[in-house]
Amino acid sequence: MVGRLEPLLALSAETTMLLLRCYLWKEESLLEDFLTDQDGTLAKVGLPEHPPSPRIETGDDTFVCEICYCDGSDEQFLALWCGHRFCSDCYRTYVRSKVLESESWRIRCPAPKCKTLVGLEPARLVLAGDTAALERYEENLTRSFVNDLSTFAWCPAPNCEYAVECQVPRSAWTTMVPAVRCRCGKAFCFGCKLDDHSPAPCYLVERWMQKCRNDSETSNWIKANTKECIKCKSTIEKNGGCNHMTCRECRHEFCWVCMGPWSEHGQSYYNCNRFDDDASKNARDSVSKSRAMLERYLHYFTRYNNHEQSARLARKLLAATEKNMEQIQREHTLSWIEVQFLSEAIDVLSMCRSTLKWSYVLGYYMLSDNQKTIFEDNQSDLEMATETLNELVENPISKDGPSIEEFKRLVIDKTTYVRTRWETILADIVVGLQENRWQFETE
Amino acid sequence: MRWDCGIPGKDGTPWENGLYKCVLLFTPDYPALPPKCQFTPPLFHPNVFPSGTVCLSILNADKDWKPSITIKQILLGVQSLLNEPNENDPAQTEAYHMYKRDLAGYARRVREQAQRMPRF
Repeated sequence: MVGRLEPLLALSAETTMLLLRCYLWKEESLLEDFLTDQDGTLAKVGLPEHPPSPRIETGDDTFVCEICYCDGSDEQFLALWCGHRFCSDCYRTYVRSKVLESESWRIRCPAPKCKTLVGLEPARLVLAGDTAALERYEENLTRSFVNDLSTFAWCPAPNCEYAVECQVPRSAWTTMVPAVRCRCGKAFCFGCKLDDHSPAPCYLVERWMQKCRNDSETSNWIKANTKECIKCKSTIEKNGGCNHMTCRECRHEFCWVCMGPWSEHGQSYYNCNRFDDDASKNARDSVSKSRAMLERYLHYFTRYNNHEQSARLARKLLAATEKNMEQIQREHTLSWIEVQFLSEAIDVLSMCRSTLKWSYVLGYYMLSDNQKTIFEDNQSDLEMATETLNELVENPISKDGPSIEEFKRLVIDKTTYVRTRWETILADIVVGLQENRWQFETE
Repeated sequence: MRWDCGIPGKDGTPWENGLYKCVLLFTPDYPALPPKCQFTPPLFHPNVFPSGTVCLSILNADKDWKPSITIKQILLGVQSLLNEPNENDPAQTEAYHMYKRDLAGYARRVREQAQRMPRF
């Protein structure tokens, strides 16, 4: 990029590089600013067109270092094009301390208020001889490249040092998951840095996670133990006393048994025989409506959670399978490559579990219509196939079961089928999201 | 290293006739890192933390600190800050709120403070 812009801007490579870094590598906005206001752009970032090659010079009688006040002709000093001269020892200490604070190209001249950037060449020059600081400087340069560019991100896996590039623009993240795989093997979403959550887009995942944090643990209990006030919807737990309830929030009086207004109960404080009364019925209806919403959430949550747990079990299964594969190798004199079908099956299984898990999040927010029914049919299809495959690989080969050849054929067939289903469904969801096939519940 | 300093309030401001004692604390990293400037006792001023530490951009390594800034420049900077507080960086609630809501009352408090810490 530097090579391409350098002749165009008629600037030195060093200045072009620093300008690009100042503009966070946004080539177009740099060009636009530069071509409309060349001097202004350069001044804003404190750069000359052609900075002179930095040289460490020997001082003269007029030289005084403004940091340590050493002076005279026996001192070595460095000055950037702005003319501020400092002795090379102070310069080195200054740049080194900035480098240790993870700075790189943003280091500026040590003079007060001076905005001139200490370019890459001068920095390397003053740090020459200090290998550790120099290495750190180069590392910071690389780090800032990744941090400054919106198309790069660090892999979130612990101890992984790789960065990942993703060209999917931010605007497309609502219809597709910018899933990436790092060289270390970690598959994650470039948008939210969570594990790959295809096919549910980031914004739904965020809402879902939020909801789970709020609800999942408590909702079961609330459902079992409380009722809602018909009037103000406050959640009420009855922990003693008679059936005559008075809502603490809105003072509404009602009967705990039939949920109807208490005024119709007369004097029968301990019995309720008005169960079929219209008012009571309506009250119960509205309660059951909100319970139904909870129930709906729990329906999706249970399945989501189930796939998450199964995925965890699948990882355990992988360990067991590896042992199993060795055993099969020994018992049936097969080669290593001939038993790989098992680990392949587990791989496919894990991918499907993840997709199924997140498809329930998609399903939860999807409004009911015919398209949703088709979506759910596909989902259940994949789910069934996945479960069958899971069952198949889970059961070790027994003497009275199918022969090893038969078993292998069964597993391979099923794996292939599941993989195809998985690919088809995933691709279909991506297309569906892009063409707005489904309506989603808004907040 | 610790320097005990006294900063006089500028004449013609509510800070006049006061001498505000502060310490400059230098770490071994000076001058790569700025000294810490702390009023003892803490000062009633929007940009002075309850601990007495001064919040000023030239005293912040991540902002405008440069190793060639002199002690004189720091002290002059803090002196100017006394009567020209920076509204964007409040460091204590009491002085900040009073400065924003009741400027007359604020000036009165500053004068009282100057009398408690006389220059002569």
